[in-house]
Amino acid sequence: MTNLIEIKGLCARIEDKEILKGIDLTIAPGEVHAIMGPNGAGKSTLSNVLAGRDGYEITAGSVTFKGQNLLEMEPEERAAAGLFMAFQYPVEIPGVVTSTFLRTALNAIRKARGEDEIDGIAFAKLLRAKAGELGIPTDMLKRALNTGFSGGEKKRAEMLQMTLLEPAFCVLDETDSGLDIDALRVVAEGVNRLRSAERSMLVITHYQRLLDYIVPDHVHVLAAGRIVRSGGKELAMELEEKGYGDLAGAAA
Amino acid sequence: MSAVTKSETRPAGTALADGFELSRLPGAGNAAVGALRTAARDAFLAAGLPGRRDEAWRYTSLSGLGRESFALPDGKAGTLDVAALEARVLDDVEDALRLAFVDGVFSPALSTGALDAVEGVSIRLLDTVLADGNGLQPGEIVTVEESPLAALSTALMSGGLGLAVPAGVAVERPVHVVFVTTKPGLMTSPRLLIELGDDAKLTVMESYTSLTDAAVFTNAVVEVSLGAGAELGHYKLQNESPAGYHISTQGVVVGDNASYDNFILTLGATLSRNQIRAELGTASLCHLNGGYMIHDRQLADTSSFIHHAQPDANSHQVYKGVIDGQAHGVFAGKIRVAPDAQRTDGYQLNRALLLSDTAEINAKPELEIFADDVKCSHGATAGSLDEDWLFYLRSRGIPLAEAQALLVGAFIEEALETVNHEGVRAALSTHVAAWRGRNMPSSLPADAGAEAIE
Ligand SMILES: Nc1ncnc2c1ncn2[C@@H]1O[C@H](COP(=O)(O)OP(=O)(O)OP(=O)(O)O)[C@@H](O)[C@H]1O
Ligand SMILES: [Mg+2]
Repeated sequence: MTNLIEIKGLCARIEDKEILKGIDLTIAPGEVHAIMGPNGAGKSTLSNVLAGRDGYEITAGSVTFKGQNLLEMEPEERAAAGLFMAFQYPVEIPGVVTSTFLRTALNAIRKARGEDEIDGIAFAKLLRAKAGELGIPTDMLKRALNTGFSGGEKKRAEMLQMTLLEPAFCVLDETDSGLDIDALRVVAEGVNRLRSAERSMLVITHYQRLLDYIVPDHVHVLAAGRIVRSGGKELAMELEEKGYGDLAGAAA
Repeated sequence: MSAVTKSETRPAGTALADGFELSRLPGAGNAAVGALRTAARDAFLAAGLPGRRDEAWRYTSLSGLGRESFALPDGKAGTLDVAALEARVLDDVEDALRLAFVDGVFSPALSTGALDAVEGVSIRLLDTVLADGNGLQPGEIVTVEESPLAALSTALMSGGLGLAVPAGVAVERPVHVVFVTTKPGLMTSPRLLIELGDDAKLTVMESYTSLTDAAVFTNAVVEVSLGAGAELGHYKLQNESPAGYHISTQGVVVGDNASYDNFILTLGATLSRNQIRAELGTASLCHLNGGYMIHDRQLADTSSFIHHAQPDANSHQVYKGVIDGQAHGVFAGKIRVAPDAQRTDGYQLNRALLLSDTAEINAKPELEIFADDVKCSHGATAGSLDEDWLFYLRSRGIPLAEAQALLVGAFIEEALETVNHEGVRAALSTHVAAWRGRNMPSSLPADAGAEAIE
């Protein structure tokens, strides 16, 4: 089976600062990989580079997504190809009504995939159903995108977007941070509903707790811009107990 | 061009007033009107068009206007392309009575009812107001001294309405006054006179457009008088053709405890200026808000002057502009707080969204405060579309052009939220979406601004 995404020797810098120093990571369809690692290790940088954010200079390496050179694609092309990154810090966009945004995004992606646009009524029905599953009140969908949402509400809104857009590859950048215990379970259940033999995920987290719900196939430790250790789900438990101590040191 | 040879010795632009016989204009039978017109013409001829040395016109050059020569309305409306008109102004406010003027002439055909169709408000043609001298008269609020352009308009005024609501009467049905120019080279001088008695209530929307590619000049004057406790919702769409000039001088007297809610959406004209002066009574409320969306070489100028003459009044101004191409936004807002105007609350904000490197904005807030117990603040911001916002939208599959259109729409919609009247807000919102459709082509659904969920 061909891999969904192959990251090879990826190095990236921001301004003069080298942040990713040779990342190798290959994810097959259906697999869930977790990345853990100390603050400032480069986890969000990796997510942003994958999603196509400006401002990073790729100095070496390659990323192949569904056989295509991901790094040459515009952010919207990446999304249309099936990549979705749930932001660690989703931005507030005043004036853009959440439901309008969601429909615009869904239709843009459907259009790029050669599918018909969804009409207003069908969309409203779909949106209500998916929002209900994530415990998102419809009132929130009438508000401006993320504007004034609490930290946890923003994370739920990210999950709602992911659920609607049905991406092939989901990057979850600390989706668990800011969620209360109940919300964590609701969100994790939502993520698990999306798990399938085709869909892959890269789950970035600091906490073992999320991985109790979303059980990963592989766990990696990212420290100082490199993956310094990889293992199975038991690695997360070990890290929870021992911390990153020597691993972070090993990377430096 | 005028044939006057010694043109250098005349104040700039005075040729605009050449060759017109004031005695042939409406109200000739009323000596007071004749005197007003003559005084107004003399004031204009003495001053000429304001030049850029005049601080209030520093960024807005009228030299192009001064080089044009215009004809006055001849009392006959030109042929009208109703479809073109509909696209430019006729997204009617729901339920409104529309009263239309074509080339300065009242058009019953384009209006949706008679002058007396709305109960509670007396609506009379300017000709009638001038002939009988009853009710609020031109020059009572916007005097000949207010500005040379207002003086020119007063000298040549024709077309327009007097609207009056007696004390204690609340009129629910909005009145939508539409001014259309169809003939190339026409200068119109429309006048609106709005007078609300104590505790009266009214909603008025004005729309202006021109359906010719040649230069035309709309030089409007609007005079508003609000009695104690009166409430006026006063809104305007300016969607003149790209070669049009649009100047509007507006004077508002807000009575004690009265409330004035104003919003102006500026989309058209090569050069436009809205000049508003408001005199606030005790504990009154005055909202002067607006949005403008301009591109190419358009210039849109807003100049406001709020005079807090009495205590406890509240004024609130938010203007938001989208500026693309080589367009130029100009904003000057002055708030004066008189010594007696204690506990004044004044707020003013100007925000510009610059979509190109050559777009320009000049914003000049000015506070003159002579009282000590006041709360006044102002702010001005200018910037391009937020990169983080664009990236967020694009990362969800929304192509760059659509993401930009969505953010531009959101920026202006936020300004529209200040409009108190829901029907007016919806009508203006349609025009914002249409502007995006024309100038920011993308495949956004037509109703992208609307709620997708109930
Ligand atoms: N714009 C920037 N300019 C300079 N340095 C930056 C910039 N953005 C990120 N960095 C640095 O890059 C490093 C990696 O940041 P990144 O956000 O990827 O870390 P992270 O692993 O996601 O951390 P956390 O667990 O705290 O979310 C940090 O040292 C950060 O300060
Ligand atoms: Mg991070």
